[in-house]
Amino acid sequence: MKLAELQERFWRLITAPEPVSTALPELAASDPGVAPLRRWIDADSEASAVVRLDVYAGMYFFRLLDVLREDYPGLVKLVGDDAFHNLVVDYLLAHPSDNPSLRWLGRHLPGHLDDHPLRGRFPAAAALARLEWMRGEAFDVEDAPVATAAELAVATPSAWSAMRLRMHPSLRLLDLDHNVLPLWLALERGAEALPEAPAQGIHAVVWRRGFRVYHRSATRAEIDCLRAAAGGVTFAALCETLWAHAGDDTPARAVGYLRTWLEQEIVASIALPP
Amino acid sequence: MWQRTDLGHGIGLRLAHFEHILQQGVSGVDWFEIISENFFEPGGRPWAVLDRVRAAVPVVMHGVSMGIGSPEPVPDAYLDSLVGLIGRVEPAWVSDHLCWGGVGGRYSHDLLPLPHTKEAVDHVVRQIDRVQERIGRAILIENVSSYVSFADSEMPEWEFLVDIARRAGCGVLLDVNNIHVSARNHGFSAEQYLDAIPADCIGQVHLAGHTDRGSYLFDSHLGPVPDSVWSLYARLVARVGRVPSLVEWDEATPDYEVVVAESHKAAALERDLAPAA
Repeated sequence: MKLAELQERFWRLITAPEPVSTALPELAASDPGVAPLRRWIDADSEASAVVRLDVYAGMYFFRLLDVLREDYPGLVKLVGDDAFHNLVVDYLLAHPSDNPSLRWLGRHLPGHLDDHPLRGRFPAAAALARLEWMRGEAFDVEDAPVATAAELAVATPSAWSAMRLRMHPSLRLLDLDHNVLPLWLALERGAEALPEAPAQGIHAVVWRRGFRVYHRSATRAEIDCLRAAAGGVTFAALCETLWAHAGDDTPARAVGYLRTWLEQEIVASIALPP
Repeated sequence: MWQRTDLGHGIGLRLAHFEHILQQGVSGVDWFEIISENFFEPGGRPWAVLDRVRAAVPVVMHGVSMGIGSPEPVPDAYLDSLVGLIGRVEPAWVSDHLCWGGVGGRYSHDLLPLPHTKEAVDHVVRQIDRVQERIGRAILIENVSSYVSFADSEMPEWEFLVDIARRAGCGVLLDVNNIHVSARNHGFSAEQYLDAIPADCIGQVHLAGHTDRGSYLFDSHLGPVPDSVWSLYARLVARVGRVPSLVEWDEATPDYEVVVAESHKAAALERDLAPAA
């Protein structure tokens, strides 16, 4: 048997959602050469060959299950171990790992949950998953310095207009269809009674400060400004974005946002015009 | 061509010890081995720990996802990440496993066994050639634990391993626990395997624990290094002399000092048994 043919057969048997004993006759229907296993696997008996292949099938599934459990600890608690296990079976069929790094295995899970039957029982599951995934992304993204308010002390009014902010690389901006922030906190604290996550669209900011990942809610106006700032616009252009929300109150609001972002270490650097 | 560097005795850098290292620094070990893919993302706490380690002792990079025997070439994006990491870590050496990991751009994240055939030797040698050219250095390839062997195999595993290492000009990361596990699972002699690996091929040794699951041994990296593995290690160092060793303890990882103490056992055995250079 050619190496590539052996690998394809091995792969199909260990990644099937059923045990090898069930997957084998199904595969043999389209690939008769795969059975009996002893034709290509060295074993004392056919049953022994099945047991040995099942070692790999088990390792495949449970390794990936463990990784997704680590990526989505709150979701596991919300839906329970059995439902999460079944979700992962479905997920891996739809989204087998396509990256050599396990780090990215779970990136499609929030989108997968959008259309999954589990959402009927847990309407906020996808929003919670989105928050957890973004927190994970922020955890180990590149480091950056942190800008301070002192850097603005020398800025003239015209320099303020032309200055640009470079936001911390860990900054993630989220639009969620359920307010899952109290739910996340309760899950994090291991609370037995979980609060409802209302079907109320919210915006959230995720970022890392030191080694620790934070998140908080934000208004639509602030999220729009953060998106504009992250896009590299000048402070004047950022204020134009804010004008649609704040009108005459724009200057005070813009300065207020900037102060908050600096205090919370969301800004990595400030580029003032020469 | 591979040449051994005598680094002494190390342990794997594991999440369970991050806080210890940040708080108390590095002590008691000659070097650390990192899992390469765990540091492909560039920042945060993992890198703060790694920078602390790098400032204290040498570091080597050990990959788990190269899939050197997979049907498709190692992805360019993976090699780009590896090259970037090598540039930043400046490891003493780079290793991965003699196995395959996936098909058609899908990954098992497991170390899947290859048939020991001439076709597989040719295939793996071509892949290693490409990797070594891309990263600009010879790598080490590690023998894996296996639970399945193939009817088409044309040679014992030790011949397969050495043939590939010789032809590709790479070194061998000899996992003594994996030899013990596979020997029991496939009914060959661990001692025969061990004795068949030329001393000049061996760049590093892995030591770990395993779990007896009745009809087979499982490479769990759970618990201290068992006596059966220490015996093989002692036999090896008595023959080949000083060789860098590394203790892997990945399940229920105990305190830093406990893992370090295992590496000290390896050092003591080497002191007692290794022939004078």
